Amino acid sequence: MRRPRPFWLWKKNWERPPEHLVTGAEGEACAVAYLQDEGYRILGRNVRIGRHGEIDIVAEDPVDKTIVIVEVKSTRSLNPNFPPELHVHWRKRICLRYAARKYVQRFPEECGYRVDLVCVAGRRVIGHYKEIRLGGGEGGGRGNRGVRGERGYRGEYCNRFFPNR
Amino acid sequence: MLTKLTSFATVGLKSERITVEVASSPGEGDITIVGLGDTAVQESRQRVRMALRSSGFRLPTGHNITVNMAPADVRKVGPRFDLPIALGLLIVYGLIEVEEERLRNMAFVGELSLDGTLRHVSGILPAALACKEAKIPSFAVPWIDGGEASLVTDVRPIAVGHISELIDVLCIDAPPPKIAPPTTALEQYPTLDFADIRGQLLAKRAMEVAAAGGHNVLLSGAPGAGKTLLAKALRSILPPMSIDEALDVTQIYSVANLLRSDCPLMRERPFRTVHHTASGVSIVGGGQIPGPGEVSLAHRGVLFLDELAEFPPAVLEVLRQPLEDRTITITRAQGSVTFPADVLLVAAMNPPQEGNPRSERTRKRISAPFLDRIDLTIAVQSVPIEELAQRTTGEGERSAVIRERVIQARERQRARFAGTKLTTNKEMGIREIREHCTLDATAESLLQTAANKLKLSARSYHRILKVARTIADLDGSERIEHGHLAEALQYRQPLCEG
Repeated sequence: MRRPRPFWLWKKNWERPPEHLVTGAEGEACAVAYLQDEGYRILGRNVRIGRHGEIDIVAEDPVDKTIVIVEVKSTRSLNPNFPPELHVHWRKRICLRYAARKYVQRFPEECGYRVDLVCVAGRRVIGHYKEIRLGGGEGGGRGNRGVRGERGYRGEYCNRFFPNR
Repeated sequence: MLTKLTSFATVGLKSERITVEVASSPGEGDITIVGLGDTAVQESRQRVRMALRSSGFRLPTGHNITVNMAPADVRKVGPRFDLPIALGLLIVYGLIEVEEERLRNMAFVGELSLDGTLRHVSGILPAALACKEAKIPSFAVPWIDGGEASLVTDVRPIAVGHISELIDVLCIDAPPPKIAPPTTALEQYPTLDFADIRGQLLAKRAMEVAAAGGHNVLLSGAPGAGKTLLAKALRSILPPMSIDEALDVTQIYSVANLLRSDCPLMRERPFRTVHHTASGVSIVGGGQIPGPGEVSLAHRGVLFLDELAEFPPAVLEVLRQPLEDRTITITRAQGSVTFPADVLLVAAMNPPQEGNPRSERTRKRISAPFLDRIDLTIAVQSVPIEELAQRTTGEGERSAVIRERVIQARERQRARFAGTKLTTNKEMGIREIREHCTLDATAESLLQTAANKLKLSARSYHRILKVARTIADLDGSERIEHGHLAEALQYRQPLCEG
């Protein structure tokens, strides 16, 4: 007897992008519009760094003139029990920390930066958290294992999920 | 960018100059505080950020801040560095502009509240003295501590209630708020007067001698005889403190954080009562970061040990060295600190009785070396009820009269010791005793016989001479007469009854 075709090979699944990616892209568009309203200058979008790192939006703060690494989290539902910021998993924090530190190294001069979180729910920006803490100590790059006991510490779980880091 | 501010840390009774360096570099936005600070210093990061926010400053992002407190090997304790750190942050962030010269001529101490107001910190007076020594002309302190800082001349205290007031003073040269003049309220005379105590003529006289020469007293008497009353009344006949003495005492209380904010200068001599359950450390001072104990808090005043026989022997032995040297050096792994401990010890106890097993214990508990350091031992006799009941008989002398005599005697001592460090008779060393306590032939022979009969130690011998000197001073006599010596010998009564 033939096994049924797996769901990811169904035709409707490769003819349009998956739902979660659509949500994310819509959220990022909302966030860009919001940031431009706030006076931020957009320096880049979906900057890929390394294997796991992706920065959703890179912007410049209008007041401090510092680089802002913006992570956008979006949901479609407006359920207050499941806000978008709930989904900043510590695995994501490791990626973001690594990506941010790698990104600022591209500039020839030393520059300050911060990491912001913009939350989008139902195509509206519902929160902008400035200068979020990603854990991890001084220094950056592959060797930075963070602080033991803190979220984002590169312990056994990290190795399990990112065996190459 | 980098800036340097001056502050002071308390080390023992002294203040040490601390340079607070604040520097920034582009980065993630961390604040790091280095320089051997305790948890309160580490936590100042959160307090400072919040205080600046609520004072109306928007802190820019993207700067890594490093705060260094030099010298890095001095342990910094407490939240007193909030103010210099906050100002350093503002300067480094470029939020305020302060002339370099003005910054160098000012020291800062203060704890920040989350709304930006400044809170009281301990040890302002030692810091102000250190400020004067370091030739820094002005000293910014919290408003509450303005009176304490203004005790030191040559240092302009700038007492501000809120950090924004200080920023006005620094940036636009606004006049600092006026400091409320320290309440020079008259010394609160103790309500207990010597005239209120009936009888007890000998004990009252002994208290007068003790107050005049600063001698230690042991009152021994039956329960209810009035020992505690006498000790408490001693307060009312002590001479007032000179300004230097008052500053000494105030420094100790400032470090111990026991100073009342409404009277920054201690005008009254301290009177510390110690319960017999007190531990050795609480009496001589100590702790991980050594602080003053009761014997230092009673500096220039009275340390009253009620129920002396109930004190654990180890605690009493601990008192021996400070009673002799009038200082106490506390040594811990962190280092050693010396506190002054010039006290008038007053002890009270029930006399041990022959044949009573409890009294045997009492005698064992109070060691001979400790008793040797007590100049006046007085048996307080119970006053007969008839005498108490008589209301018409003339009252005794008022405390004010006795106090006047004590002040006269102290004046005489000060004149005699002019040019030396000594002020009272009890501080005399062997050389001073030989110089100032000369006896005539009859007195000499009396002392010889007494010494042989009472089996006096060398220390007791000298102490009797000192007491005799004080009695002569009270009498206004330059020489120690036969009568003075006889009275001094009378105050060395055996501890035991019958």
